[in-house]
Amino acid sequence: MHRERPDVLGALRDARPDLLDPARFTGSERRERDLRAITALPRAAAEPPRRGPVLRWAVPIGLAAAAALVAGVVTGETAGDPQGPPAVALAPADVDSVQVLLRAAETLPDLGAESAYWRLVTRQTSALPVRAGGERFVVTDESESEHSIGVRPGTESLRVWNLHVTTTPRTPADEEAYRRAGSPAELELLPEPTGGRGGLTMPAGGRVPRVDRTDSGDDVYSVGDVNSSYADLLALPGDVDALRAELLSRFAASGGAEVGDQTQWLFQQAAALITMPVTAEVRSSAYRIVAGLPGVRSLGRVTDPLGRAGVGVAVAPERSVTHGTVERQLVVDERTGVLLAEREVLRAPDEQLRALGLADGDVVTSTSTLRAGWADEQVRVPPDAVR
Amino acid sequence: MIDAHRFGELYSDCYPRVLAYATSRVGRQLGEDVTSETFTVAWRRREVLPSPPLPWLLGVARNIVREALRGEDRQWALAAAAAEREVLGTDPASDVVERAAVLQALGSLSEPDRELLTLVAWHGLSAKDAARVLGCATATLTVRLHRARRRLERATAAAELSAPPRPAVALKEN
Repeated sequence: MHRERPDVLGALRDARPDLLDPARFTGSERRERDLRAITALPRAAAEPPRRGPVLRWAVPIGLAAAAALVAGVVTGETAGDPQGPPAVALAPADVDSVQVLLRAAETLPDLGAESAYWRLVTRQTSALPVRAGGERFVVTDESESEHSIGVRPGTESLRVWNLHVTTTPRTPADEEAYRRAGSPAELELLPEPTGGRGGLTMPAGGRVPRVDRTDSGDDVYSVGDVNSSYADLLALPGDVDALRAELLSRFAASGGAEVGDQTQWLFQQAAALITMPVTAEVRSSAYRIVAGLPGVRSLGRVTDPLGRAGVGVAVAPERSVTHGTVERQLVVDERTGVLLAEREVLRAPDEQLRALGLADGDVVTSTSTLRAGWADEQVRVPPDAVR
Repeated sequence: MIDAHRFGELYSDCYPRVLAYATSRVGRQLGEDVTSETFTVAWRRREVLPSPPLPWLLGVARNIVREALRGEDRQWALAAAAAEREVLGTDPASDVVERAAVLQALGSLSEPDRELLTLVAWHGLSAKDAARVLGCATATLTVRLHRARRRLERATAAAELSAPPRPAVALKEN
């Protein structure tokens, strides 16, 4: 029988890197500055009863908003309103977009017979402001990842990422700036105006693939912060109201308003579920949930980042962590109901982003689905992949 | 109701541990942003802050990091990968075999196992408090911790057999 060593946690405790010793953080330069800024903020007001589709921004949305607040760069109504952040009333849902999503919900293809692994292959792009050699410019970082979710007993779930990475200057002007910088092999990500995120470097060329194990016991996926087994995923209610209620209970369990806005959260969770091994009813209801969100609007015919034709829908913009105000969009193949891509489009770029040539309407991040379906075999892990 | 003075005390008490946690996930610089947002949320919710506040604060910080990483944002992914390399990296020249082995073993475990073990061993939480951070029942957590600990123990034994000790993860990407 396997004997448990009583000291393994102790050994781990002793192995804690010095850089994580809380004593090292007592003299943080930002600490007092942040405290003064935070305690100057108004308390969130209790939500008054309202009728109609009213979305309430209960806490600062995303890090960029919070960072702007704590740095004292407060704009708009949020800081000046002693009752807390303002309520934002949104227009009723656009009829077109609802139709697009409902049609998608009805035309979803059959997923085929269940097999050992659910494989989701995606291509990500991200527009990253960087600096090198005294120049500032924007690069487009592209990569693929392959998530393989083992649904049978004894199978592992793996996520292989950093595949086929390319980093290229975004525009001819960025290309010129990159050349002036001496075509460096390493780029430094540009810090936010508030001072965070400086000094982080990335190679301009390829990167080694990485692999993560993503299962824990029977759990293979998390809806919000709640881990779910494959059986849990199959047991999600297919009825749209019941599914919405289930997702909202998980929103509350994940910290609710502390993690951001409920509409944005539902939008992301529903979009993620559509690409997961769930029942046809759940996929269909996920589209219906998106269609019923306040402020959802139609973008008409669009092409996804891979050039595939589809129709687009968007929810109201929010402050993003890294790119100012962004609008989240879905691109759906209206013939098959397949979710082609999810992307973030820049709205109202701040001065730093404008100076780098980023404009209203530019796609700053995207995730395109290359393949979602069953496979008999585990994903191939490249031999040079790093765990 | 917590007033500004009491909030200041709570902030002084908890700030280093929240920042240490955030740093372990995404590095010092983004970690400071995460910590700021965490206490901003706490200030806005100060009427309902639980006691002790630390597990709640770490839960908020964890959610902020998770939501940022869920977006597949390259900057956050890079920061998280860099933080992981820094935290799990060992120095073969100076590290004792046992330390290198346990870090290598930790690096070989699944992300949920690593998270649970480090919340307890590195961030000093009890099983009950770790359960609050992770949003599960204490009984569930106790079972998970027991299993994770056994997996760590096996992986450590395996790592000790493989000499010389290697870094848990590659320290350089090409």
